[in-house]
Amino acid sequence: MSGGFGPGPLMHLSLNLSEFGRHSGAWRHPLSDVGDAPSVDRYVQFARTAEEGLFDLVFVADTPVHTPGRTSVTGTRLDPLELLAAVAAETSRVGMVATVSTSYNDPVDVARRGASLDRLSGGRLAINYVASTGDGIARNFGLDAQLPHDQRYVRSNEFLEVVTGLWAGASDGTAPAAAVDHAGPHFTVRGALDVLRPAGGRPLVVQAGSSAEGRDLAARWADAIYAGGSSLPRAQEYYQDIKTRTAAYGRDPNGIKILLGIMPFIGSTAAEAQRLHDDLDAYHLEGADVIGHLSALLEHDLRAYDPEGPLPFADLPDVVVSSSVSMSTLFKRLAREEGWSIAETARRSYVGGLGNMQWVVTGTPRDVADEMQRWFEAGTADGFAIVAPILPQTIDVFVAEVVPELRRRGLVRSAYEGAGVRDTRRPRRVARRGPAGRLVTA
Amino acid sequence: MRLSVTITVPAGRDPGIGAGVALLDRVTAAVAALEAAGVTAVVVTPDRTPGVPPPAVEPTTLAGALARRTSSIGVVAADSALFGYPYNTARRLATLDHLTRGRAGWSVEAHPGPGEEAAFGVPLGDAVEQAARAEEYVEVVTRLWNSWEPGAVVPDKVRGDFRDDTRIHPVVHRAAHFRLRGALDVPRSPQGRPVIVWPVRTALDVLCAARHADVVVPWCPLRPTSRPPSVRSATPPRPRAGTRGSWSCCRRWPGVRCPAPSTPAGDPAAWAGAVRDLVRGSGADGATLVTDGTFDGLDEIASELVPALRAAGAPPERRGRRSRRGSLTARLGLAGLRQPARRPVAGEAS
Repeated sequence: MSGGFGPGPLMHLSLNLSEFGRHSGAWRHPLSDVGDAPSVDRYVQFARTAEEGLFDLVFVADTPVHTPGRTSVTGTRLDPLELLAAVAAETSRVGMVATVSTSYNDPVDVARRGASLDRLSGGRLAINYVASTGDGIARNFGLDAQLPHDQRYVRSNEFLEVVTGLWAGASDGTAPAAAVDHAGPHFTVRGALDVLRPAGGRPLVVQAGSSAEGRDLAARWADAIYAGGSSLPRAQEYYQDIKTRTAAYGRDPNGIKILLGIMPFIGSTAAEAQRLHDDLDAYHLEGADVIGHLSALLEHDLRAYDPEGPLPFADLPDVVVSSSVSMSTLFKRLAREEGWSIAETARRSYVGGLGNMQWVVTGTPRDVADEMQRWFEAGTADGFAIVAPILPQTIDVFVAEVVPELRRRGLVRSAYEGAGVRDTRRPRRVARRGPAGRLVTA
Repeated sequence: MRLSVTITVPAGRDPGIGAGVALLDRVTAAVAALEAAGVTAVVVTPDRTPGVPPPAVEPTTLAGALARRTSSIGVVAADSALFGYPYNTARRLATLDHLTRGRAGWSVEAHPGPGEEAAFGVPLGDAVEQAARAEEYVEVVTRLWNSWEPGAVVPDKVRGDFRDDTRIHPVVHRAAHFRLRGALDVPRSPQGRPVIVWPVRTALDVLCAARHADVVVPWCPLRPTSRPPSVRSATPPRPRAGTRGSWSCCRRWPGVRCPAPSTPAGDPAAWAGAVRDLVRGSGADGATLVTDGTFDGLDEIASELVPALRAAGAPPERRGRRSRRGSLTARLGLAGLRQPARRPVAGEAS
């Protein structure tokens, strides 16, 4: 343990759902059947497998913009709340996380749909509130450019105030709903929710984001947070920081669960796992303009420089405007610390995609269990978000071999608690901080 | 005769409702019976009547869950064309069309529910202004649905192209109520665009529906009364010659109230005769049956009212193998007849 706060005895598990896996080379792998994309059946199948593995959550990411090119291909985009409504119809226990952009939604609309899906699923919904990055998205929603970073987080806070207020005042079917009277810089809302209260009091609040504003937003609101950490000390620092910030808001630090992203490449031997990793990288890199990709990420044209030379740190903008602050900062730091050339930085930033934000483990099921145990016991996380590089291979092997191994070690649950999520979500409690979920109580 | 059934999900008033999965199971059972009875589509609608407990769920999420629990019935969800963002509406309903493999529809809410203006903080202006906003909203949504050409998703593992980006065209729209520049992020849906259902209550609605709707539903009440259906209100006037619409390919399904279950006034045979006369007399293509919002009311459609219609000489769609497959568009006989959504013109794409 590296500080004052530590996880409970059991690790929580979440699966990132995507059509072919989170590695952008996955769809080209011979294992992947791309014949009937978009295939809702695939999402449902992966969620059911996660449920067999007694996962806490399945997670659907969202960025509401069409991005041309081949940089990030994980399947076809579908609306998360609609997709999870279909998943809810075919699962019964696993929690479901829908990503919702606070910059490009109306809180009344989200309160309505969130309450509805929570009730349809028996209290299994969680919502991942993201601020969303990029001017391309803004143009889909009537703006020429996105709001400044700090303003997007002001809006996120206000968004959460409105949705949680509407849920807290909602009708339980006997008493009428209480109205919200809110006037803020981004929303003016006078009215009550026009569907019944969510089955679980309110859907769990999930966040991601590593900027100071993102951490504070999570500390104030979140029941769970998706974290990225490429080194163990950094993940430990993040864990302590989030718990400390949470306590500073007067909350129980155990009331926020930190789920650390792990991208596991799993094979029956270490060599087979490495080959899977190498093959996926190769499929994704083939024919790619990696320097162009890094130029866009860092918002500086790098094609004029020697690709074998270092990044021109002095020429780079301090703050990126349209690309991801977290990703650009990460790669500048890694390039400096590791002494990578422009070409190497470009290759790594391109090939891993989101994997760069994660901790990558390549090995046998036992290797993966070992590493998860080591990081868990080092106080880096309350659980893990399985960022599956290729689906269904990753989740099939994980549930068949890694989960039993973790169970033998007493690190994951051996049955869902109670009769389902709703049994542990205390549905009648609607205090502003809302109910503790299974995530919180297990 | 094609039948659609409007369903709302009531609150704690209905003893059949428990929280959560039991609720979905109960709705599924009712809709499965409608599907088996030959009903063409269910239209999931909100119930925003003030003073009564609100419905348990809202339409689009219930429709998404029903998508995986039905196999042939059309699944139409009511969704606002006044509040929110056209981009979100377009992706939500395109997703529903993917979930149902081409059985989805959008029932356009072009009027605000009680209190919605204040809740969303969007002042709407008078009826003309509202209609203009709704029409622009629908136009943007349909153009977004058309922003991916057929065949834009052809994953080519050898070349490494998952999509053909040259077949994906940004929509550029800038008008009185909305502006937008971008292509939809959800791929073209199985029907190209979900079926557009338009409940009409006013003459303005009729004009808007004439331009955009595939199915028009005149007079769409939600509360049961003892009043018989009105033939006059079920027959919208045809638009004047020279207007932009293609009214000829629009189906008309007047909304009629179901008789209250188990009451003397609710004689199924008399009701079925009235519905038959209404549909024939008005030249409509079918009817939209509006229930009292209870599960008993829904169950009674399959068990009593559809048989009564059949006995009255107005049977629902034949349940042959052909009609049980295929898109909602095809089941409505609209394939090839529908107005194509406007394609981007030269110079518009950025």
